[in-house]
Amino acid sequence: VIELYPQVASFSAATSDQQELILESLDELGSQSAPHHTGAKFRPSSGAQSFFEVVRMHTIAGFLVDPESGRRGNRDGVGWKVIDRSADHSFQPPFGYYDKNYPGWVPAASGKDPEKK
Amino acid sequence: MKIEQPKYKNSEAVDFVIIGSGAAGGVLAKELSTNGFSVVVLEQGPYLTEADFSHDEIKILNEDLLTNHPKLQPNTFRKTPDEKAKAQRALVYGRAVGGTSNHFTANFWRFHEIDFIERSKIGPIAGSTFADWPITYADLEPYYTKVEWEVGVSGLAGASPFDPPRSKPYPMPPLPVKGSGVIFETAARKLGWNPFPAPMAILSQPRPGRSACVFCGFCLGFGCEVKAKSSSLASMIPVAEHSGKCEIRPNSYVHKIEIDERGRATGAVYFDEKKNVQRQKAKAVILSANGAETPRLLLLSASSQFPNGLANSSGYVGKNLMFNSGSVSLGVFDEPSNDYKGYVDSRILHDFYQLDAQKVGFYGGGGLDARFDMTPIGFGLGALPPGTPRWGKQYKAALAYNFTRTFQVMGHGTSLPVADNSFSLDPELKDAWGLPALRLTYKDHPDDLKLAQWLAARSLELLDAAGAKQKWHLPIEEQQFGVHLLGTCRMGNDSKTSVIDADHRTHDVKNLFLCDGSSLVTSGRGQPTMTIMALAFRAADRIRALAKSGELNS
Repeated sequence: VIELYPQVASFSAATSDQQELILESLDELGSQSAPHHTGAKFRPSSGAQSFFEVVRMHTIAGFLVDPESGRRGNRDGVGWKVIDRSADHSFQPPFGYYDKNYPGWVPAASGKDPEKK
Repeated sequence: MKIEQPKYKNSEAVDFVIIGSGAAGGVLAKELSTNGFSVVVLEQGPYLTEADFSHDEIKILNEDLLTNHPKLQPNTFRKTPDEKAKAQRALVYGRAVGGTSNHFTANFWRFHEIDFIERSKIGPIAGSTFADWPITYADLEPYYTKVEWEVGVSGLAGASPFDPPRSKPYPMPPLPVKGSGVIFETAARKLGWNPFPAPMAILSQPRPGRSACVFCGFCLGFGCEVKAKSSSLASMIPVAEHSGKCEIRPNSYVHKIEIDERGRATGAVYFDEKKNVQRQKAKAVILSANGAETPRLLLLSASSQFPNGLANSSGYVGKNLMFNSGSVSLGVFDEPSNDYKGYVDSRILHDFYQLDAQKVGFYGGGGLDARFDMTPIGFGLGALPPGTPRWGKQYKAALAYNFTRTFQVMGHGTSLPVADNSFSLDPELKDAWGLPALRLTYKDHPDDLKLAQWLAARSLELLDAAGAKQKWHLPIEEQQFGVHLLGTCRMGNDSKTSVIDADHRTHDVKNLFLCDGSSLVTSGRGQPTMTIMALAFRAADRIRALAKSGELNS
């Protein structure tokens, strides 16, 4: 921060545009490199990760962890509000837009006959 | 709540010692103890209960609360036997009472008739030890039904035109459809395919002592707090404990099966919680430690009588490992389906269960499902479309928009058995108890990778027909990591090419039985646990018959 913006006291005091440029300077992969995996990678492994990647993982984990977990992350459920995840832990159908008018299961009228049984 | 159990003395031989308390061990413990046999179950991991489970992704996933931890039990990996293996996490399995059934997705597909006889139907395949099973679907059918009714499976009989014959309908209706399921069903029908409600080992109706699913959405990777998921812990272990004949002994890490001068198993040697060595005597020993730890334990039990490892005259212990091939595709839709609510997957299809090798140019087959198996942190780390920034304002905007609008179409398929694909003992690396670490050797058969590509293409076709705004699939790469641990002590009639017979008895040791994912001869189409449990119910019947005939005591 001091190198790039000598007049800014800390990362949190920088503007969001400045923050992006600071991160850009730290991320050896470049921000555009897409993540290419799903949740299984949150498991620990013996493989080494770059410092930036570890910080990124901890930041996302801290932002999205269950606010009731007793950890201090995701305070007041702020992360879940951003992603529009309800704070509840039990639900009833319909769950969303696409299942609310579901007529119930009916066998296909025009499904192809299976080639083999 | 734990139930009062008998305490057996180490020095007194119980009828059976069972190593492992997961999908197979739990069923065997229940079946044998309720039939009057004395049983000690030795489980590596702790005895956790519903009160220990939570939705804390850091504790459950990143700290491996329910699973093997790579710091305590590190692994190594190599692609082929001529390479030196390097330290790398190779597998995840359940390491607690209930085993992997605590945290599984609970897809409970029966194998089909073809799975047991495919080798003779299509002939040999180069580079594979492909073989028929010594049992058929008809032999296993009554036990699939037993699993559905005793363990608890929700589903709709007759909904799939590809389903194998069944003697009874499911004991309870399917779980309610999710948004992903509605989209999948509509799109699949548009393409002329046959989607149907997924059979799930999750209760859609309450059972004594167990709640129906409350749709919390923390399913894959997590234990169920309301006992709706039909794990061994929720369904089988309590019945075993109620029998008054079964002692579950957690934190007991078995590292040797002892053999007497007549070549018969006499018991199991294990580290207790304080790492003191204990020895449980038994009249017969059953290994249900999973497809990695069962062969490891046989290899660790090598002796002058059995220099290549116990029950390994075939040389097949640890070999022919199959992980199941597959693909993960994702789509983003216009409206929130809120797929984080509920459970993992509500609709599947089996139109591609048996592909015609002449047409597609490779052996294989599989199923597709519509799923959301990610919890919030996992989603944030890796579920945004390619090209999305990994951090910053655009990352946050995509995360905020996509979380409720994304779901996956997953392909689940066959793996061919390849002799070199294996779990073995690493010659150098040791675990925290000083035992040789598991070494994984794995290189997918070329047909498995072609199948994965093919399933990914069908998944994208479906997402396209469904009107997804964005769609992509994860790269198809050679696997270096597994959760389905299959085929490593396969069943067969020929003692030269298999480790156990059709009764799950090792060819080499008369009172030693193996039953878990290692018993499978072929991989099925990606959902092994139902078959592992059905095999365990059947094995219990076979073992009881042998015990009754006095065969185990002679």
